[in-house]
Amino acid sequence: MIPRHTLFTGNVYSYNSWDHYWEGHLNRVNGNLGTVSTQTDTWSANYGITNRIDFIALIPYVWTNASEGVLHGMQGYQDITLAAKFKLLDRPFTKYGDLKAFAVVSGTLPMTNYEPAFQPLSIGNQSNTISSRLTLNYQTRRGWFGNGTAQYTWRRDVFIDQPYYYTNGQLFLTNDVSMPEVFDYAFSGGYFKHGLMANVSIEQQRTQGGGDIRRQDMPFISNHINFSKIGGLIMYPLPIPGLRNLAAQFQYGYVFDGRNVGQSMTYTTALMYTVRFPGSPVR
Amino acid sequence: MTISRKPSYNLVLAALAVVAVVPMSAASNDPGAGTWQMILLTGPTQVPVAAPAPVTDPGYLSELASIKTAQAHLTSAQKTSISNWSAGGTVRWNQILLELVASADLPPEPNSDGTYTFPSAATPFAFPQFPFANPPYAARSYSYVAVAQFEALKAAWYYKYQYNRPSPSAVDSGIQALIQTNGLPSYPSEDAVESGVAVALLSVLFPTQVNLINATAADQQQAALLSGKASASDISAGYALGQAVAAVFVTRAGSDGLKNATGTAAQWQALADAATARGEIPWKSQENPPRPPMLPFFGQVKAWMMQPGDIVNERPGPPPSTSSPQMAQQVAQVKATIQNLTRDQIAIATKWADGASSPTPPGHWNFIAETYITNAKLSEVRAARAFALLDMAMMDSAVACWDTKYTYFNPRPEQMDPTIKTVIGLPNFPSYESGHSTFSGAADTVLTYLFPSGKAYFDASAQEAAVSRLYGGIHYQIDNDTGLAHGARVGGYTVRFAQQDGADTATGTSITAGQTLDGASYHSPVTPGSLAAVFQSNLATSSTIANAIPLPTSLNGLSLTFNGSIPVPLFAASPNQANIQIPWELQGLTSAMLTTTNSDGSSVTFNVPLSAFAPAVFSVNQQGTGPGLVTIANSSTLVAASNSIDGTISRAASKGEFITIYCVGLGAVNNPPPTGTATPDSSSTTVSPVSVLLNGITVPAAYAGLLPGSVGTYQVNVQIPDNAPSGNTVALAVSVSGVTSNAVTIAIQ
Repeated sequence: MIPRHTLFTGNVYSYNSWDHYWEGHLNRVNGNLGTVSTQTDTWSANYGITNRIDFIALIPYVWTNASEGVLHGMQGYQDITLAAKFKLLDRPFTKYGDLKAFAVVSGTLPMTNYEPAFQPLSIGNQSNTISSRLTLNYQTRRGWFGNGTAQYTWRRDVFIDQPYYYTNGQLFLTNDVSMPEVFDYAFSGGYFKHGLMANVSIEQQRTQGGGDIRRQDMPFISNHINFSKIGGLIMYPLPIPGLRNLAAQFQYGYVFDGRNVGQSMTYTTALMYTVRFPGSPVR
Repeated sequence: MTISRKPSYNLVLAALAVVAVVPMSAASNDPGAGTWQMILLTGPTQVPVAAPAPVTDPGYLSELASIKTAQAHLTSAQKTSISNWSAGGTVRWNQILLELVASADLPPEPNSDGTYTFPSAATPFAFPQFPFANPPYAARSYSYVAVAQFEALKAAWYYKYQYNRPSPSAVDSGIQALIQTNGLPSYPSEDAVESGVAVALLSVLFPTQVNLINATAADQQQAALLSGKASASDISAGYALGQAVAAVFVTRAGSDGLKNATGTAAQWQALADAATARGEIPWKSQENPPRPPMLPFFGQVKAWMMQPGDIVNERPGPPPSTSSPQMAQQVAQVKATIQNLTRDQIAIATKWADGASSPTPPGHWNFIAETYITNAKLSEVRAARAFALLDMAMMDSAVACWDTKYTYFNPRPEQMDPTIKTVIGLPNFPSYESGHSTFSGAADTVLTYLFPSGKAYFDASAQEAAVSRLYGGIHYQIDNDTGLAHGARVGGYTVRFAQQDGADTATGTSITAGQTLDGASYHSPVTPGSLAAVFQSNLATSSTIANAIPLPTSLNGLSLTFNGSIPVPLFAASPNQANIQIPWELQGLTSAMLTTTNSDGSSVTFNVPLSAFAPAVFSVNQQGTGPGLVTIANSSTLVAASNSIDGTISRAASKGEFITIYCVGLGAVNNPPPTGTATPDSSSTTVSPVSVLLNGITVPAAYAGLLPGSVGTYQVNVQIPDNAPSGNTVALAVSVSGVTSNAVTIAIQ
């Protein structure tokens, strides 16, 4: 949680690329795509309203590109995330540390009318979503911690430009695409003390329905996307004299298994600054 | 060369004056469909259908009993099924076909060595599955099913009205009519006919989908039975008829040239070498790994309405040379379009992309047509005709377009300038001309003919489909413009067939509000200068006939204008019909907007297709069939068997005698009189020569021109040749500039 009256804000840049992908369950490459890369630059803000409630906003700008073939890359403002995070529980647990529980309710909204059905190069899928998430965190005084998170997302129908579409074994004679719900869960563990964080994580996504990409077909927004991802993150305060409250983050993620998704690597760097407002307990 | 004068005018005017007001029912059973011209079958009786048992037969009565039992225990699934089929079987099969095509519309994946394997009809389930339903294969599939169902239904209609067996719900009041039949005879069952055709043809066209096809056919037949439309014997006779008709089409499909359409590597290389020899950059696949060209010899597959010579004659000229400044300008235009694309343009490109996993461009137009066909509440055979006409025109477009593409082997924008990127998939075949534009030009032409009220929408859709290919970055503008125009010419061949296949005549079977038909045989289109009949509700409060020439432009409170400003002369006005002369001022146009304004000020505007030539012969029954309005020259004696027509003297003509034929639609004349006035003499002869067909023998007209003293009517004089057939019902038609009229009969001794 961010302490009250404190704003943790900054810029996050990530680079994601894959050349192998799972066409349904079949792992393959595609000479008409080559390496597909997605860059995302996100302005991120996390504000502590009270010591138990945070408000979060994320505004991403996305660029996509295919290194081979004739398909045009896309770019634009993607979907804004607005979230409220609640600390439900914060109590000592055993003599080593504290157990915390958090709940997050968040929603995403496309910020521009980008084209969603030009996958895999569309910058998003134009769906409005609402998610609810529960996190359990055990933090020892010495700094070691463990985290478990589960999140469920509902996604609103998307209206595409095509008058009909074929997916999941059926031709739908409408432009209305119903989007299956998504379940994500993750475990991470590592060290967090005095602003320094290092962790490793494993995450799984399971989409609750949707069709598989057929052989030599292009992906579709309502595909049954699953992935398993491992990653690591380092965050540390930057030792710049005169500039306290500035932190840098580096993150790496690798999708090692999946369905209807790229076998991607993601590198993320972030530069975050802590702004103290009157009443903030941060020195 | 003798030329008649005034007596004939009085006869014609008398005939016109009592033109019956044709009842305007939008829904009709089309009892005459068994006489409509066939396309592939030799006639409606090519497949024999035995007479059914009488309705008192104990076997039939037990069929009825089992329907009653089943109706008493309908499950909700069965009720849903009946509801699905109540809009008509051809519409539902069209939707099934869209899905079959979309599910098969995937190009094979490359092998690890960079080669591609072709789907094989011999092993359809082996990877890659057969077929790859690309646009030409799809167009061919849609057309075979639509035409076969149409032909089978025409045959069914012939037998329905020969045997006149009522539907189970009509025979037995204890059987509910869960789908209305409007008194259509039920043997053989039209639903079973469609099922029989679909199973036979689709099992050949989409062999891996037999489960869906068989399930749909079973569902259709069950719905026909449970709804009280058809008994088990109606259904089995219909299914057998459908299968037998489909077999004729399967035979044609086996040798229509598709088997050779892929070609060999040597042939593909020869296409590239030919382009190089012409000094042009040959098309190259932009796929990675490069993929063989798609169906390069589809231009030699058999079309429906066009002969191979027509395909060659209608082929557009070459695109700009790949080394010319015009080509550079075309490339630059694509580049500039892609670099400045708006979201709306991307939406248009995506809407019409119709690439992999889609019903393909011809499917897109079948999807558009569905709404119009459903809303028109056509009889099943007429709905089948609408799909058949549309799909024949698009099959012919596929042949014509692929002939063009592979004649010129023109490179795509991405090949000419690799910095051009696309926002839809790039098809793996040459650029000039655009397939989507060709399909759309043809579809627009046919659908406008069938549903004139939709012209603005069809035109706009065709234009949008064409430009979408430029927005997608996959075609030059010249590809789209050329394709639209080429498609319109191709569609014209189907429209000309449709104009004379017998389906578009009066007698209340096909007239819908907003139609303007020629005044002799009630066909569309109409020609400037000729008499026409306008059908529209609420035109006038009572019936009035003009009593002077020049004809008035307002009658009984009704007035009409073309294109906003051209007044229209009126012969007669009645509540639902007006007889007019199409103004000469509209010469050269292919359509015009007609506005009718009645005495209470309300106006309706609708589109009227026009043609330079649309000959139509008047008939005694005023419906364009049967004994013609043909007289012995210089008399008012009708050329028909003696005493065969009430109230008129008639006799057969002798060989060597001159006869006079009264008709409309012979086109431009020398010395045309002003619109609304009559020519005083015989100097207004037709510009194009006219001939008369007598049972197929062609005889040049001795005289053809406007009928002196009358407005909007022509007179053709011809001498009966010595080799003319004898008989009381010799078929007579008039032909001008390659267009032939309806056929009426005369008697020759």
